Amino acid sequence: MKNIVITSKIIKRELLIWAAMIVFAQIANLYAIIKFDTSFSELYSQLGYVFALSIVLYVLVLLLRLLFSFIKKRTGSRK
Amino acid sequence: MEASYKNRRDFIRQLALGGSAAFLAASPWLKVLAQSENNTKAASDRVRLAIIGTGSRGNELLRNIMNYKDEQNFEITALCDNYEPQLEYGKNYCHENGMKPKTYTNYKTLLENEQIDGVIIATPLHQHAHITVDCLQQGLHVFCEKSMARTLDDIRIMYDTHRSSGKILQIGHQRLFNPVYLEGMQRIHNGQLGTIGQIRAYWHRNNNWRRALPNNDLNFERQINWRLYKEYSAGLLTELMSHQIQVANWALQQTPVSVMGTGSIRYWNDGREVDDNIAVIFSYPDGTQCIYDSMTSNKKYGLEEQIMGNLGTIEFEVNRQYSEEPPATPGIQQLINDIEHGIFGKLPIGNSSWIPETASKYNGEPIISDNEFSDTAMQLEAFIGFIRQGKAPEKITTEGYNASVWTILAEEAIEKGEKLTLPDQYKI
Repeated sequence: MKNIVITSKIIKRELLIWAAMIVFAQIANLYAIIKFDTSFSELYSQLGYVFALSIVLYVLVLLLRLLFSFIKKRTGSRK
Repeated sequence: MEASYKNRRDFIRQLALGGSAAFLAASPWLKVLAQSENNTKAASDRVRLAIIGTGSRGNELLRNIMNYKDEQNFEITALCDNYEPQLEYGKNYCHENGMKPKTYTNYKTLLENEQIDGVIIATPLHQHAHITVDCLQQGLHVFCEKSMARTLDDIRIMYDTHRSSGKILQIGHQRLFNPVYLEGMQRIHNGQLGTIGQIRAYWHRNNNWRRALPNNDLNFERQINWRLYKEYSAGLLTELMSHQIQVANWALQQTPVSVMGTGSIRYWNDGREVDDNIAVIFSYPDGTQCIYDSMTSNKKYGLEEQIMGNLGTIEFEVNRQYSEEPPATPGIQQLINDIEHGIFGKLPIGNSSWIPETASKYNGEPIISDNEFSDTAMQLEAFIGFIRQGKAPEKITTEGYNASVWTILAEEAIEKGEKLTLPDQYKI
């Protein structure tokens, strides 16, 4: 059986990606506040939504990365 | 928007002290209630009560009043009913709560033998008037279940006797003491809903409204199921609608100028005489309409009183207030909805010329946060307080009077198929 090793480097990278998604979601929140002319208090009152959105975004990016790495492996093995 | 109260006393005190002049004029019993909280445990300060009519409602009132046996100094000294099993139930319940009332099968014997301060009357409707009049004339304060009486003349006699005797006549409209209604009425009377244009009220059930007869003995039919016979009751009108027309009058601070309506026995063709399906419209002096209906063959919509103004709506039974301009959905949710519609939304083939004006999906806000109060118990606590003070705001009687006369007039309007106004001799 093959051991899967998750290194601290991988954990740090994933956390950084997720943090980037949180920042992105909060920017989307700010954009939405301006676009729909709602209250700026939503910057903190909607943090639950921002958090949930960041997880959704993280999963989407993860799927894209897995797809990308799968394609890369397939094309690499033909060489 | 939602109001929060720690407990019953806190609620009464806050509303009584903080209420606007308009609100306190519309609900003057609040101030009396706030002042009636102090009572001693001395025997001389004890309020002695009798209950006449220990049927399902009378015993429900008994169970409710016992909620206050430790904090209110009162005693149930006598019970009266002509149906032995219910009388026995009431007596046993009192014994379980440390009270030992005497029992009677004739209220006149009770009045002759007992030294009491007040009576609670929960007999069938057609018996309210003569029992109330006898009690008031004997110098007793009276709490009488709604509706007041079976005829307009009887209602008037009850009211006149209350005035001439100077004794309290409180009618069992418990919503007058319900925190949701009190808080909601405060908002209505302060103008938060704007101009009220319509009130819609309804009470829908899906059952035959019958009670089981002991041993299926048909000799008890009219005694047990008195609500179904016109000799004793106006059915849905007196037993259900009277509560809701009282709410409409209270909200508008007016009484109607006319009533019209219709009714039928549509579903329960089981020998009953009262309608199982009614629709009534009350018109008020300022042009507001109160549209009412009740039925007993569908319960999807349950019961409700909807007070509809140009700025908002209140639905009392579900404890909610709705603004005509609901608070905006948070921006991020709107953004996500837009993206979702962009991805999954249907492509329009042609623009529709008309969008159906279906009901708003806005769920509104609660009127008060804690709705664990029993208004039935609170109205009885108030009655004890009123007796102790020897007086009650006159409005507590006139609310019941106006609801009762317009209920009986609605029955007349249905029977005659005419739009009716209240004859002068019944105006107060």
